Amino acid sequence: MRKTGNFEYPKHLEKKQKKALKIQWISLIYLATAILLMALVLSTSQAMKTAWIEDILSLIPPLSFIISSGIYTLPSNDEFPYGYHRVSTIAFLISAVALCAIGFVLLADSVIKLVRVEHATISSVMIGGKMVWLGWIMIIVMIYSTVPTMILGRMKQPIARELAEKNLFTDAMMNRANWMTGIATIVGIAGIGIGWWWTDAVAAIIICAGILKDGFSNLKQAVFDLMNQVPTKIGSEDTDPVFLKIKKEVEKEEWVREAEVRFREEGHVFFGEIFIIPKSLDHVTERIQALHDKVIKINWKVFDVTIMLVKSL
Amino acid sequence: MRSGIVLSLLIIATACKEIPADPNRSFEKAIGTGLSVGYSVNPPWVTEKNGTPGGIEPGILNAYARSAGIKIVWEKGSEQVLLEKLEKQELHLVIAGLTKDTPWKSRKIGLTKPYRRNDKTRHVMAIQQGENRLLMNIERYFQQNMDSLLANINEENREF
Repeated sequence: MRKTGNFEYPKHLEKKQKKALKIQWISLIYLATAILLMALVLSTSQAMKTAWIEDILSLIPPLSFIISSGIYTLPSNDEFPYGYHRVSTIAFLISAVALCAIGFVLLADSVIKLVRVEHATISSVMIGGKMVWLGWIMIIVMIYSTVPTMILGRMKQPIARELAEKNLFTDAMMNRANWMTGIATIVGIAGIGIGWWWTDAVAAIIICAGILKDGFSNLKQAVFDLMNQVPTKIGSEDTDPVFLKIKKEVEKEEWVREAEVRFREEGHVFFGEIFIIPKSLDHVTERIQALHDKVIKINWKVFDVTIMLVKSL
Repeated sequence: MRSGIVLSLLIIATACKEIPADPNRSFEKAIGTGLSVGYSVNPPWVTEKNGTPGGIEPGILNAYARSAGIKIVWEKGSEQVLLEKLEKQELHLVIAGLTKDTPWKSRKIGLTKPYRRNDKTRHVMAIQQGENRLLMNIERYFQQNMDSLLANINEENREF
């Protein structure tokens, strides 16, 4: 059993973790400015409103990354003997549910607007002595709220892979896909500009489709995680190969006849059990301790294992 | 992303002079056959004398119509009836001394910006929903002429 203590990243990943944290802080602050600007220009455009709400929801992943960074390093204790690693998975589940629920509500809202033939009334503002249609300003604000998001996503993705941070990886993917929201909204507003009132509602519906797709795939990921699905390699559906490696390493031991392993993910570390049919019981306590120490050194993500002797597998 | 922006700009470029456009061509119709305005008596914003609308808001619209070379077709009614007609796109504008927080703001109509600077009560006019070209035209008039116009009206209607 690993003595309770702080979870720490291996030295070479600590820098990456700090960088990820910095990027998430930048994301938060930038998003706050984008959300504020959009609130000022939204008018009655359904597409703009939908993009605005999507941006508000996208505050959750960076926020939960920052908060859970502080929490999951806390040492385990009597009350939480497995530590606090699952905090990030719970945050992920909450945001996935929010995406699904709000996605549906916005979809219904947009379809109703389309069916009721509601036209977006968009006013103008006086800038430098000239009347400027607010639609132009809305388009500029949309570009501001889309392009940096895509750039931030591209920065987050490789770090997420190195840290094997699934939630950060998903956040990065969603950021990179933000272009769809941007184009849909801009085309929607341009359409209103030339008198095609319906492009607004249609653009909003397209954005909702994106929100729901993200919501459902994240929901699936969070639920499977909490159901202790065998951990997968980041960015893929294949089982992480580290478990096969562990099983092979264990079976190499000359005192082990046969072994089975069973692992689950807690946040971004693995906890697991190793079941061994021993050849003999000589020095078994020392051997088990030595094997335990060897296994947790195989990969930094393997946090703790429980080794159990059995009669049959 | 880039192609989306280019696409939008192309769409816009094909109709460049008319941004923003009216889905129901209200501005075009106003120039052609006249601007249909519903009015509901609500002094001093809207008054009536001998079947002719008067007061602050008709004063503003008359001056606007003169400057744009447009004829106004007035229709008298109650706020409820007129706004329902506006929802059904049977009128271009409705004036009734409405304010920005009118309970009608969530219905199928549009509201102009307040036509007075520094107006705490924020009086507005109701416009057919989505007729953004007509809206821009009228709001431009508000912006450019409001001070002088209200000075004139001030003299005529000594209340307010």
